[in-house]
Amino acid sequence: MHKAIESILLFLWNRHYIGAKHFPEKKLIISRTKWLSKRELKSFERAYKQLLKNDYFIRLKKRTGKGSEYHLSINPKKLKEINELISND
Amino acid sequence: MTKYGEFCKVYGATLRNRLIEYMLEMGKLDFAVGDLAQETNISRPKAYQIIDELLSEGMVKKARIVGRTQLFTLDYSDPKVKLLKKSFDDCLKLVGDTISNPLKELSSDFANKPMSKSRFVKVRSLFEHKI
Repeated sequence: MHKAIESILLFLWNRHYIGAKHFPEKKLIISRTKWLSKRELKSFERAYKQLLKNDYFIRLKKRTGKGSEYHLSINPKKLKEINELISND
Repeated sequence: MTKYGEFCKVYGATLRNRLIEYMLEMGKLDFAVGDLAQETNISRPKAYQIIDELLSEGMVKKARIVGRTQLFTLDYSDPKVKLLKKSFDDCLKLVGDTISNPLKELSSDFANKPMSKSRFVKVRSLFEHKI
């Protein structure tokens, strides 16, 4: 698994962003990919899209003061799979 | 945003613990001290001071230099860091257990506290859902 993906999962899990509680996607991804090279960024994007496709995250559009942005939380139905993903690394 | 996670709830939300929690959350990713200070709401001088302490203890090691920025990572070969990682994983397990079984968390409160109105509504909704 990509190390930035692992970091995102650990962050969301440790701070209880599972199910109903959510966190801004942009802020989270920028903070984890700030120091990655172009090649690493591409592989991160691929891995992230795959996780979204497999429903590991719940991604929803939230209305905020300035407009709207996407928010992320871990899908509680996929906790087992995510636990395996994290512990394998 | 939650100020700190399960690890700090268990071990205490001191400045050092908050930084260590952030580093454990980063996993194998490297980070800059400025980002670390910003995300944990700690002043930059204090963050640098704690990082220097951790460097001298051998828990943190220098990674790459990007431009003029020095990046750091946790040294996972250090026995202290191994111990911290283990306890961090236990904290994650604790979170997973409470999410998969919310009644477990509530049951410990029954014995200690008289139930507030909001908690009563929460418990009732859980039981209604079960029925």
